[in-house]
Amino acid sequence: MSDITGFLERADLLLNQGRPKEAETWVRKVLESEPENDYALSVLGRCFLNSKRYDKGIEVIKQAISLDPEIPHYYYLAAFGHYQKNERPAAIAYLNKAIVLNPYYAEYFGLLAFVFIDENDFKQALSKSNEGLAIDAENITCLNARSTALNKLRMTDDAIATMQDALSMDPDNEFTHATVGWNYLEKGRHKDAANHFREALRIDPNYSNAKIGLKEALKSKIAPYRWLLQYSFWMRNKGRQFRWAFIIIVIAAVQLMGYFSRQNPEYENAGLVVAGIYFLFVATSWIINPLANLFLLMHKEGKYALTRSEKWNAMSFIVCVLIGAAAMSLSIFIENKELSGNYVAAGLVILALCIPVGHIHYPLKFKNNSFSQWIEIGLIALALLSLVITIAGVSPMIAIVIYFILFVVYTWSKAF
Amino acid sequence: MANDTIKNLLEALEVSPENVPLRLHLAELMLNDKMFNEAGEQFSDVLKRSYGNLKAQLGLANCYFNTGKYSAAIIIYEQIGSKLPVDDQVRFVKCLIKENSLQQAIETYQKLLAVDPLFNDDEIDNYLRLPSSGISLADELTEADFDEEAGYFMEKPKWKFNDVGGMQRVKDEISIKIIQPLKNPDLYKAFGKKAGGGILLYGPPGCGKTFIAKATAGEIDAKFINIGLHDILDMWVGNSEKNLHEIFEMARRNKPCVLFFDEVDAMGASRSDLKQSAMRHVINQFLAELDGVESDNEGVLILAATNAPWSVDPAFRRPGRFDRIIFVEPPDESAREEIFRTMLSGKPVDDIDTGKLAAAAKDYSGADINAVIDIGVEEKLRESMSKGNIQPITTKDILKAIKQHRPTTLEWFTSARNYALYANESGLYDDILKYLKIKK
Repeated sequence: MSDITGFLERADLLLNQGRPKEAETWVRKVLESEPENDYALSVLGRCFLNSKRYDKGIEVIKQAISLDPEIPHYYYLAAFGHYQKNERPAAIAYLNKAIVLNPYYAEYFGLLAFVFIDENDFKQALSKSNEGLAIDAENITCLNARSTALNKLRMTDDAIATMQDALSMDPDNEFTHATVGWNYLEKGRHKDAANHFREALRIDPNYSNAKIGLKEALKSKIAPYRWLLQYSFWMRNKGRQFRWAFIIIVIAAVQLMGYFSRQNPEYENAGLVVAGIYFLFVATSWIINPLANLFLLMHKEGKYALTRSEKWNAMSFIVCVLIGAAAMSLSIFIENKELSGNYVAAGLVILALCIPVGHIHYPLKFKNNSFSQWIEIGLIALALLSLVITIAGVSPMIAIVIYFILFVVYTWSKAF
Repeated sequence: MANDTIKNLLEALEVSPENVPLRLHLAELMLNDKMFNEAGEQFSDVLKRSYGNLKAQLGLANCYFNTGKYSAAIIIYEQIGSKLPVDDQVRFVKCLIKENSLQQAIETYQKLLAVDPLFNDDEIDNYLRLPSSGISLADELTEADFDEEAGYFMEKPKWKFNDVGGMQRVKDEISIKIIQPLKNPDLYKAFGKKAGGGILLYGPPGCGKTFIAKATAGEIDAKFINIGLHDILDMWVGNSEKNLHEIFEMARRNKPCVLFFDEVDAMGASRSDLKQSAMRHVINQFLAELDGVESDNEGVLILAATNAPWSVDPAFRRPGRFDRIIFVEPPDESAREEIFRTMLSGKPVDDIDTGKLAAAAKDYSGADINAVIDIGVEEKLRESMSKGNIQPITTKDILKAIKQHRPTTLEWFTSARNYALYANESGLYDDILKYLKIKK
């Protein structure tokens, strides 16, 4: 066996064992003596893709394609890199080229189906996964793509049958369990979803997609969170234009209802109810995530699924709620009306702070921040200042006014 | 005569200090006259004036070698890399042996033998060759079937458990399982306890798994064969089953012998890999050898190490095989202090506070501490070269190096934590949960 073949076999073996960095060492040895070996370049590309260095992976695979443009697998690898980077048009283009060169390989159709799912083109996704399954009826990627597409198209029975097929074909496939988990979650069956995510994590504990799924499934135990999750799935499945139109229509309808109720006092209560529901919806959407994180923090399984930032979000959220409530409660016992009012205002400021601190990415940075990150830091500083000068007996009103102006800017910066 | 010449040259250099060839000549004369410290100063001076001068670098490394500053010499030899002449390669190997970097010493020695198959050095051979097999590596290199037998280095480690800082739990487990049955065979027999079986050590990289395995061999005065990742990979891609059998046979011929498989997970691979029949054969062969189906393994102690216990084939863990699985955790604070003290001994230091260093190096493995010291030493070498005299290493220098080098164990624990949380079947990773203070 020549050194080159041996080195490439070692690299292949190490890649299959999930050791991309060690595989890279061997394939680089090959490329030192044969820099134009297209297969070696494709293996190096796989090393990059498997270690999530997608840009480098795509670049190297493109070199392999330029050296031998007749190998369909290289196009598939390039498509995979683009898919991971959410560059779907490029992924589709590369997959189509791979299929032209080899129309009898089901995996290409499976990946293409998943790209179409991300494009919200569920019918195309179903069609491509069916094409793949016509070639290989047991292809796990195609079966997963088919069940997801059917689920999105509300063809629940077929979706469940396909999921069962995929699971019976390969019960130890973490990808299938995660897909089934997400499908169940979308249907609101959070307990079933959690079981499948747990199984996926048992097979591959580092599978981040399953970890995120398990977190969502556990948070879905809280009914409002579950409803909002269903709502976000529903919105996600609609086109971008629909989403914008829907939001604009809801805002316009609320404004119109307000205007109508002001003009017609007999409908004032109805206007208040609509405004109340709208406010509740908006407020819930702002606080539900840190609240759910707080719930997970106290959950025996959930607390380990949270990231450090999410834990901080949950803790700082509850700290703000408690301090805000304490400041407002304290005002009841203060006889001086002005001072009492100051405590109420400072309490409100701290209560409102629970929204930004519940979403900040921790730890806080003080270098190279984006605009909204600087606003978050500004809000924290102003809220603390308001509280401190209130305790010192000075009026915090100027700080509070600036705080709420900044707060409005913050909410709009998050909306866009 | 030589002294007169040196004196004359020193006077000449006072008149023209910029004359690099003259200074180099003087340094070489001093080196020949075994005036290592003085020669080192002259070579350093040459390097200040002519950066990267190969002769001066080699000379300076030679001075360091002869004055026992092995780590400083290693840094220079590593910088020179492939341009090293044979004599300097020999010094490089010796430095590596002195600094206990045996794996690197073996690799460097193999490269040297590839260039000069008939090379022979008794001092190196005592450490790195296979005295008991009667086969020298040079002889083997001239034969076609090099890989078949002597391709695996056998050594007789001199370290014992006392040389290993910390790791008390690991030492106790190994003692009960391996050492005591050899020391008290009758006692074990009386209790009906069979000696043998293997031990699988797992933990983050660089925490001393290989070292404790060698110390085990040293403790029972046994020979030690280290089978690394590359040897295992060769089993997959080469003439695998036969190679594996040869290794076990070699160990059986050299009883008592500790057979150590490093990165044994490479042999287990993942389940999807097992679908390939060639791989199944190797695993089956390995299991058969472990079980001692056709041969007697008495006196052959099998240790294995892995950074990825989750990738090890579950069949390896059955009774009689690797039935003890031991977590080798990163060194605790007192062990880190000991490691700092050991690694800094023999180096020019200035009142080092090892306690402070150990506290700052939380989560650092032994290998990380080594890397930290290397960074500190390199920095000091540069400073010494520019100032023309040896600058001692201070606590501040090492603290600065700690900030530059992140502990490599953190990445491992991210993965390990996930396995312990989600795939802890039959409590395999309870030790990790305990170490991370996670209660489930």
